[in-house]
Amino acid sequence: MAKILIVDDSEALRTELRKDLESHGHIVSEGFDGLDGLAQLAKSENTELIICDVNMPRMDGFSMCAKVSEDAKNSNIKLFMLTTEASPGMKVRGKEVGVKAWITKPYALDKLLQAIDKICAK
Amino acid sequence: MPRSKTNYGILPRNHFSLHWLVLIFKMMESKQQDLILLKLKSLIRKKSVLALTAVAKKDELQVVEVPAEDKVMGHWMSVISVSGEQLHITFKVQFSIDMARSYAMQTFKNLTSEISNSHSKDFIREYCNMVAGYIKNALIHNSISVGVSLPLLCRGFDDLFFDLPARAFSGIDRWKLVHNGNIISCASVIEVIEDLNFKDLDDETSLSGEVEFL
Repeated sequence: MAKILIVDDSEALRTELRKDLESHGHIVSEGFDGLDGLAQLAKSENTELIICDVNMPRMDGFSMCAKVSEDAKNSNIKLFMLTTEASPGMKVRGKEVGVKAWITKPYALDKLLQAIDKICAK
Repeated sequence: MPRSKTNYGILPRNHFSLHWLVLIFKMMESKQQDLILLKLKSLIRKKSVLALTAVAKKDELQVVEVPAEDKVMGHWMSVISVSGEQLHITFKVQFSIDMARSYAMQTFKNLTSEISNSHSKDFIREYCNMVAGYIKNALIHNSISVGVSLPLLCRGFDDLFFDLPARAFSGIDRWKLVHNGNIISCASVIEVIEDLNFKDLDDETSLSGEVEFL
């Protein structure tokens, strides 16, 4: 079981993913863009994983991940990107801001759950 | 003075040949442009089906042609742009809330009556985002650099007022996606600014749902 923050501007995606993760015992909170994601992160304690989109209004996923990674108190938080973007250049940018796994939308739940178990167990 | 059959009669012979060469070249160029547009239209249609199958979890979607005169098919519209220096693509979906709701059912794991209007609209918005992502990935695989806008959702439609821009070469394509009588109407507007070379637009470089550890 992990405490997970989903950050995506699509309410449809957040709702679907929340239901899927909660049905497998995870505790889920949501942010609707990068700025809101940071606000939600500040409010909650012990977040272990952030699953976030790349293209969002106000603050994109790269900027949000960079902000999370540069704060020492977030050193235990793992970052996943869940996006339709799949170009090698984007993945390089993701790696630079601390992203551990890149998932191309739409997600396959079994693979996502395996990845969560693998990364959060480290 | 005898009237010359054509103006070419007063021109040197090689000018006559040049005229025909230019004409033939233009015809070949036009065919090449038609082929590029056809490939892009086909790519966008294919990705629209793939994405809806993936997000709505509905197989056996039917693709139905839309007559050119049918321009208004829903009172909500979601629009997204895929553009770069070489081309601009606008992908649009016209829909009604009830139709969107029927496609969103699997995503929200609810009865259609329990899915709000807001969720239904957002579902189509995310669908547009996914189609644009698929198109972008196919283009980038062919070394065509493009970016994707955020999807826009609005009430109404622009098709009655919108016309193709008069630059480069361009085309509009319209089709419907149908499942059990539920219809969403798609359109693509393609403007090609520079010559494009495709290796293989059908090649699937990104596998949806795959997890890549970085």
